[in-house]
Amino acid sequence: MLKIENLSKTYANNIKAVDNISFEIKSGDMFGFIGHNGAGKTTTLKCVAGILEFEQGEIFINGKNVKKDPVGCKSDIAYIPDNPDVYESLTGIQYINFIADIFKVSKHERERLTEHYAKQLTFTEALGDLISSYSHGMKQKLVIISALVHSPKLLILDEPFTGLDPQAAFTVKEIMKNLCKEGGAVFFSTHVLDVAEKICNKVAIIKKGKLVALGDIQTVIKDRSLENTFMELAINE
Amino acid sequence: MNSLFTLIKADLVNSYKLNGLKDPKNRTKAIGMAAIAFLVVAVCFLYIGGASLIISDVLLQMQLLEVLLVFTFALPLFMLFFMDVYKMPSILFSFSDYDMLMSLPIKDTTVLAAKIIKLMLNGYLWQFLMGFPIFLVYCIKTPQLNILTIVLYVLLFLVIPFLPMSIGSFVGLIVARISAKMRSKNVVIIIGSFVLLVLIMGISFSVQNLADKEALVDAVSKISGIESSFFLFKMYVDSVARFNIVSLLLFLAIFVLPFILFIYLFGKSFKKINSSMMETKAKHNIKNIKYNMDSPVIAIFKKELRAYTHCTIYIVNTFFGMVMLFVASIALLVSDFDFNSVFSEFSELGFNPADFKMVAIALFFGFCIMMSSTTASSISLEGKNLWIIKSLPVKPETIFMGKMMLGLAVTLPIGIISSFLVYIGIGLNFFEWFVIFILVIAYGFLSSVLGLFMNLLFPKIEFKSPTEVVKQSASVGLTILAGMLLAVLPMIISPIVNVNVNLFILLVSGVYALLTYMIWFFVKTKGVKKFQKL
Repeated sequence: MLKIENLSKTYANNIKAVDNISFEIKSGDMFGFIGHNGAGKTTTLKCVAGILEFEQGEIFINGKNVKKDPVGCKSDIAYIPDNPDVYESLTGIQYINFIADIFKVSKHERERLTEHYAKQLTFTEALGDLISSYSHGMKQKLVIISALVHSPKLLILDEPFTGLDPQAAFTVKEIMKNLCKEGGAVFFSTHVLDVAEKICNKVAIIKKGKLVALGDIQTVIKDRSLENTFMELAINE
Repeated sequence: MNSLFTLIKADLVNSYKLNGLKDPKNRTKAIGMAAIAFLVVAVCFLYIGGASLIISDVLLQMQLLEVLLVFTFALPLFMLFFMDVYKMPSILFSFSDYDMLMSLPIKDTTVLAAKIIKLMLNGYLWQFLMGFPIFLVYCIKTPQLNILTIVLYVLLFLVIPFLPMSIGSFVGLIVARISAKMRSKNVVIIIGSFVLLVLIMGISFSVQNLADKEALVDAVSKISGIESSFFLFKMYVDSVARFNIVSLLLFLAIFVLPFILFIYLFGKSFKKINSSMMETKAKHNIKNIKYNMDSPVIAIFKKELRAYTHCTIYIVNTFFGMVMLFVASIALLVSDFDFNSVFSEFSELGFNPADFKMVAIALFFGFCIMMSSTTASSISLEGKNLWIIKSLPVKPETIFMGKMMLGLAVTLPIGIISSFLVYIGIGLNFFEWFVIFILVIAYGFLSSVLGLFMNLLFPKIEFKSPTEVVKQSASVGLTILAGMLLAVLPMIISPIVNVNVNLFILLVSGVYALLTYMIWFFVKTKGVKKFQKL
């Protein structure tokens, strides 16, 4: 589903945000990406989503190269950022229609999926309202619905549970699990280690742009908790 | 009192970015901005003062120097009426720092007073800029000026902002109430802005026409008529120049009493009104849920259009040229003025009047269309939302086309309608209209692609307010500058080349079409790479 080979990304101030990382996410994987603030999680996610250019390495989505076939790669994924900045001058439904138009989702399918996910996230009533009137959590829900309306094969989420109410967070976790069960994959960053430990089958811990742990969750944490493992690997030298 | 002073100080430091002067990193920029502001004030002051000086000689001859006092009072008053209606909703209702201020251990009335005092300071600034230079000329030109005139001027100077503020608050409250229920919140503000801009243009043209003595005599007779027929003007002149105590008291009552009433009523319900305005439990618009299908380009165009209509500053800045073109074209149609006689005057300068007419029309159309580039800031305005278009499975060219379509939607319909109006208004023949029509199309495309090109070269993705992008960004400034050059260029070249003027304009359109294609080619190649690096 997703293959990252020797990815490196340096910012203009010569800071190496991501330093030669490689891993693979297969169909059905729920992949947690963990690291402290500024470790390189968002940069990696943005490179995969085709938002950031990178100078070294390759990223493949379903065998397609992100650099060579960006449009083809983006057609298979949905990216949900940590801060849901969306067009405030649009209504929720206008934004969903906009995304669905770009992904060429049929009228019937967008209606079915929007109603389905909006109901799950208790968002139906707010669909016709202007996004500028939404709270942070509502914007987050809208971005999640618009990401799911085109049935992505790979879901990329940056801190997906920030700002969500407990019920919505539970629903999102269920949606993520279902997507994996149906043959898709989820690649998400999080600071909520308990959640990562419960729902992920694979994790990677990134520190100062380099991977310090990678693999099946049980292999990585062994007989400890993910929190203890993270503290040991990422905080202590 | 201390908390009031602290609030006003903090508000002024924040609004006028005074801390920039303390910060060594931003000091140069802050000093530069202050110098520009000072220059604008000086130019404004000199322009109004100069115009008053020109008028004053004629007024003196007609023994109507007091008309200057009408201007001293009326110009800032009208400006303040508009400004207060325009600014009131954002200053007194649902203001951005409401939550922060209301959580502080200070009285609600102190918060209200701080806001009102800030508005009053603003009012005094406008009065000083627009009214004081005229009063200065009045003082200079009045033989044996009575010191009481100056004292009364200062007294009334202090109370004049009260009435616009009271009425502005009332109208602003109604506007805020209505707009809170409307989807197109900005319609009132946008229309108001255009009316003001057209009025300013109209006034500045009239002031220039006043240099003509006959027109001035005619205008003065009309204005002196207004003075006697409009009681507020009469009262002001009676108070300041004739020391009529009844007029003075009446004037003070009219300006001060509504203000006291406003403070009393609004002070009591300030918190209640703001709380009700901030309620987010508005009725959900379920009827508004419609599932429509469009192509990606149209979807991007529609998204751009919605963002455009919701950003007042974006519309006002990029649509004014087209409003100007349309208003001028309507004026040509309805005015009985013989424009052809104006063009024939240029024959004395060696121009063929028919040729000059076409070149002048081409210049005006070019000028208006080239200053209406929406694309010059459309990439920048994506700002924090840039991740959306960058993560979409569409080629950057598709995004660019959607953005350019908005530019064309702004310029072409009004440009084409205006060409029809000019065709009828000036009496062009069909071929001449066709030439202008082709030019409008060429300028429309060039304006769109040029703006996009500049915005890709000089993007400004990080900003606090859209004003920074729409008014102050390098891409907008350079697009307008390049646009002006491209509009003026045919006018400069025309007398040099010995070609039929219609053929010449068609040739210019062809060259500009080629230029458009060349810029589009750059946008499709290097522009895409620049976009990907954002």
